[in-house]
Amino acid sequence: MKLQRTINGHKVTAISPTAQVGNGNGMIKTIVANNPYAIGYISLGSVDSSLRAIDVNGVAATDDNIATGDYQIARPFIVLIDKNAPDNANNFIEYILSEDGQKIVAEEGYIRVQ
Amino acid sequence: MTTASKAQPQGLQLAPAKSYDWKEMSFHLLFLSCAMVGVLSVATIGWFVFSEGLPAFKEAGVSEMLLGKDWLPPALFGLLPMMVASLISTAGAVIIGVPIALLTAVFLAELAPNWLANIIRPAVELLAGIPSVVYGFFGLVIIVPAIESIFNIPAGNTILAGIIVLAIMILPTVITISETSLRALPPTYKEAALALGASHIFSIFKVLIPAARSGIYTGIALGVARAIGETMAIIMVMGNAPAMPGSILEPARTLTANIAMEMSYATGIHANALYSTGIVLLAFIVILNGSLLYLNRKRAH
Repeated sequence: MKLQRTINGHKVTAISPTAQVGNGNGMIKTIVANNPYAIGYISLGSVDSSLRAIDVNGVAATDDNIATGDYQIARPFIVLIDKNAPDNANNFIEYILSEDGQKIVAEEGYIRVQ
Repeated sequence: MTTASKAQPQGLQLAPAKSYDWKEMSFHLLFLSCAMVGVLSVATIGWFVFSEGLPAFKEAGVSEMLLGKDWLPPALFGLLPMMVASLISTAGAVIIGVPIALLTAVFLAELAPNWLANIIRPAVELLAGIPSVVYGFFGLVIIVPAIESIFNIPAGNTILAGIIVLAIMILPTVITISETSLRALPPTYKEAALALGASHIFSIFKVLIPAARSGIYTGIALGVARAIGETMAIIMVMGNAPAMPGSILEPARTLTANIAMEMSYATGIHANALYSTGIVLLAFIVILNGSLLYLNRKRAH
């Protein structure tokens, strides 16, 4: 099960076109929490007691399974900067990848990169 | 005394008049430049949208974009499901909202006692001032669960929810303009009809409403323009699924919702395709205004 497929040489989304799209994690959380027939896709850090993260192919949605790639429908957060970005941008990315930054990432419920 | 009067004195022209009234000229220029602000804004927006949107038409092909059923950037840019959703939601809002608005306008202009009109009219004007996000929230919290329980479907985010929200949103526009145009009719129309023996209701439907036709069409056109351009409330209640809807009980995505949701992260040809969605919207509005001008044309008596 993949999140992308190829059409005419372009990579496009493999998500079903009949799936509803919401405006951010909060809206999906509200819709899923209030509707017994609903299932949604949100960030792991947004999951709280009103929701349940389900297994895919028998693999549970835990930090370790996602970090090793066993949880197949995971999707990375990407930080983009311009080629000629000022030094502050590069320093910020180094801070994110440093031990302090990664500790903040783990505290908020997201997956560490290293 | 020099005035910029257009009346030429009859008789001998002795010498050409060379003194201008600068104050008059400068005010004329002031009014002209204010009017040009509107024209320049429309021209700038139109030029910008077209210059960004035409490359997508060139790359993906006009017929593939306007008739394609799959919206899969960056490979396929089919806009047909979204055009269908926009048109169906607007048409549904007009079918439900305009009769209610017209009958309310008739009630306020002709039939309501003063104390009742003084309650209804501020309520309608308040309805006009509510921000569209609040309408969307109201739709999400009340209309969507109601649709789920009435029709017994698993997801209430449907075109029907969008139609109901849009119908409520266009009510105040159509009501106020229709009531104004009904009140602006010369009283001789109604007096003549009543004097010839028509009942009050007959004179309203057969004399007054056809006489106020142009104002009512203007109100309807403004309501339709608001319904087609509505974004925030639609995003919250219509589900935004890019597939072609099979019935009004399925989720759909309108042209405006498509632009609003994907513009923040679209690049390259994807962004150009969103601008071409804007071109299609502009085309709808131009067609709408053109039909309004055609309906309001002066007929020779």
